[in-house]
Amino acid sequence: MNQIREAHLDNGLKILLKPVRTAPVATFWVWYRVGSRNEVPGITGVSHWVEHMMFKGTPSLGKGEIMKLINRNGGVDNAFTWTDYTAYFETLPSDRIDLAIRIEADRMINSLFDANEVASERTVIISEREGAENEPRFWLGEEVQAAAYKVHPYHHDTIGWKTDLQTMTRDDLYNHYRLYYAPNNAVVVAVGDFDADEMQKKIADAFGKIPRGRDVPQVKTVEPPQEAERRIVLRRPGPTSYFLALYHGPSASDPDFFPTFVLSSVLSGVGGMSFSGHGSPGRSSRLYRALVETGLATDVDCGFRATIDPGTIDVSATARPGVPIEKIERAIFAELEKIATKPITDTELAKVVKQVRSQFVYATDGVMNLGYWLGMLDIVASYKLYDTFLENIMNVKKADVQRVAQKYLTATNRTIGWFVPANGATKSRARKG
Amino acid sequence: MANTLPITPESITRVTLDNGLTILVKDNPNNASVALRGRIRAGGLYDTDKTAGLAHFATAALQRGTRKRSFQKLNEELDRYGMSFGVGSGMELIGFSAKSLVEDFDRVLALAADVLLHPTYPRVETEKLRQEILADLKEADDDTGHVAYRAFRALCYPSAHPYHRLSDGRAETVKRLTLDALRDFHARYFRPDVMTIVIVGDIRANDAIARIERAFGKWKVRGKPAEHQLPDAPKLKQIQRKVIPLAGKTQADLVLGYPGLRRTDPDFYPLNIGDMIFGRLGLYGRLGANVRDKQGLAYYVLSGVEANIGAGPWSVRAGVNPKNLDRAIDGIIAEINRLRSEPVSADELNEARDFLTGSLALRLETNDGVAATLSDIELFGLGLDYLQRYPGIIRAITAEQILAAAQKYAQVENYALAIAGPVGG
Repeated sequence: MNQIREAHLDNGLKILLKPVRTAPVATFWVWYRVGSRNEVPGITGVSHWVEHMMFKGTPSLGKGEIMKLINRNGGVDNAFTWTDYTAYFETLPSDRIDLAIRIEADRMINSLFDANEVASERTVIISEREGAENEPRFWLGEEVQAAAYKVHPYHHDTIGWKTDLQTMTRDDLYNHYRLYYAPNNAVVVAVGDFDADEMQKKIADAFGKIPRGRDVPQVKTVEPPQEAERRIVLRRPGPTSYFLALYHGPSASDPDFFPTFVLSSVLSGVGGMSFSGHGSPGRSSRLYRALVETGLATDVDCGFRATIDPGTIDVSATARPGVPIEKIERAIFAELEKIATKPITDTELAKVVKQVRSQFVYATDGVMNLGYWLGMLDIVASYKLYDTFLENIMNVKKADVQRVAQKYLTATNRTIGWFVPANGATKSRARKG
Repeated sequence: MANTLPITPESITRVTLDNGLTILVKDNPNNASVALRGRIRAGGLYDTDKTAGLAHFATAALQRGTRKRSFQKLNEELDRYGMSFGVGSGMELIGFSAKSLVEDFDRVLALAADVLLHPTYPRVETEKLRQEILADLKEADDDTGHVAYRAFRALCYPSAHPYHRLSDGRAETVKRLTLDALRDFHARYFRPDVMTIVIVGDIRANDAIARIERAFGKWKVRGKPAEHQLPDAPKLKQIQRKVIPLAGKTQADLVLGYPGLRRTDPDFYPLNIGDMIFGRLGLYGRLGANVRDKQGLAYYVLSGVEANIGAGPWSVRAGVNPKNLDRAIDGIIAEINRLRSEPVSADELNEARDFLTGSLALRLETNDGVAATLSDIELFGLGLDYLQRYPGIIRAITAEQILAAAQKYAQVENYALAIAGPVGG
């Protein structure tokens, strides 16, 4: 496989290029090192709202023009915001990829943030949050996350608190944009059917004239070690009970990252590693066998994400209607205790290695996934992890997995949330309107 | 990189085995994996009101145990080799898909054949699955988008039409389906002569066909397959409106629309291009520009034409705060009126045409993308030269044809509208 080229412009822009010449397609990404992690109380949700405003026009490209141009050229584009990053991408027939370079260089510096556009987008953002509020799992996740992080900004969800969304001003948004959207706070990733020298020159021409921005404030807050188990019991109308436990875990650059990745994979399978995200359902994994096969739950998962600051190991389950949530909790804790007291088997370890190997091959079918992986990994740790990921997994020993289980899966290190349907299940009544 | 189409009559191998199984193969050496997609012409259309959910349950239960593999053994095998296999039933088709590294292709093929040909419907595992389906139905009853869409389908199609229901059934029917009924469904409708398998990946065509023949060639057919017919849907005669209150919700989901058309209907291209302009291009087309961007009423408002073997619906979906419901509905109706009363602009038409023809490269970039396109070409009889003809088909569609199609399928005075959420009650 050919190498990933790394380059830097004088204004601080980092560039990662990977030619893949198997289909006449290329993908172009800009990753900004900003997300809800960089937000303070009063303006929670600002990073995500800024992302929406980036489609509202610049002096040279009016509102809606970006998507129109992409469509006219047979491409797709989108953007998303998470705790640690905000990412924008265009995937196009490769002879049209210059368009993406032009669009992204323009909106890195020239987005307008018109006051009327901010006003109409406020209700759209609130509507996005309200759509999520229709899901019992959203309420549970938001409460448990807030309890697990007392001081670190991982405390709040990327969408932001509704009261902040109601009161944030145009200047709050614009100042955030001016501070964090600058070449020295961004990584450009291009993957696909192009010549690396040519692509590098085009990027330098388009982005090189953008001045370096101020140094961005570093997130200094460190979540103090958790001293006591925390519990949330949430009662709302809903169809069944939901369980969620967050254990503080390692960051993506911590040596414990890979053993913890294997730990979560033994518990519930290797999740999908493609950008669109479907992996194997992990039905031979420990948690599936202990909770779903026994009829206690209809699904169960152990999620573990790569993050800049220490993230969480998330264990979640949906109770089969009528099963008391205490039983779900007991079964999950029994499995977590087992993996901390007894080493995993050789078969389990080999299974994780093979799953990671095949997921990597599947994820490289198409340029978009590769663009996602390189950018995401570079934000949270380093893009170099991409080439060494499988090797790192293969170096994990059974004893490492047991050690991280003992270290992180403890009672004092966890925040437990129960969603209990209020008044039993909801009854719906239909009427003709 | 030459701009060559991956699907042409020369690059695809298509054969039909003696037992009627049709196989299409595209050799793609660029990724060390193989993607398999299959379809069987059967599904929930054979369910009755009393057996609603039978096809869905019988198909999902295939993986719960086979002649050679218990449920646990099957799961272990898939995970051990990093492979995937899934099978499920919709209203008119049963679909299955598999993926593996090239080195494991025989393994996943053998597993797929075992599941599709020799399910045993073991009691314990099948009963567990029944409970999981019942739990899914209960969760779906709490999902505003799902509840609104289900009610919309019931309003839009008469009770005798399969599209009146969704394929997952109802709790009271799923509870009563017997194991014998599941077995009978499998025996009756799983046949090689109504099945297609598409393979795309790092494998030579003759090799792939030989392996499929080894796995599926001994499968015999008896008699003739059941008729696979979906009746036309009558036009709506009045506004059909239903409001379903759900407790504990913040937002209301709405679905508004009409019975649409079949994929093979000549009106498909004008209606589909009109719908792109109406509610899909860019950020949800005209609907997005009006209801989301100008009025700020909804995070999502979009449209879609479900043109299948049968005439699926043409509908708009949106999620809105209950206090904005009337304004959002007025905005949607205003855009339907506009689409019916004046031709789309040359600029809009060109944008839609350019997108449809230009984005082929993206749609055909991955093994999965090629397999999906090839499956549709086969299902709808479009011909292996379809992609070569496609730009011509799209370029020929005019604004007048779009106007005529909009007028034929959308009647502002007669629509179906379902709303679920914190409303009424």
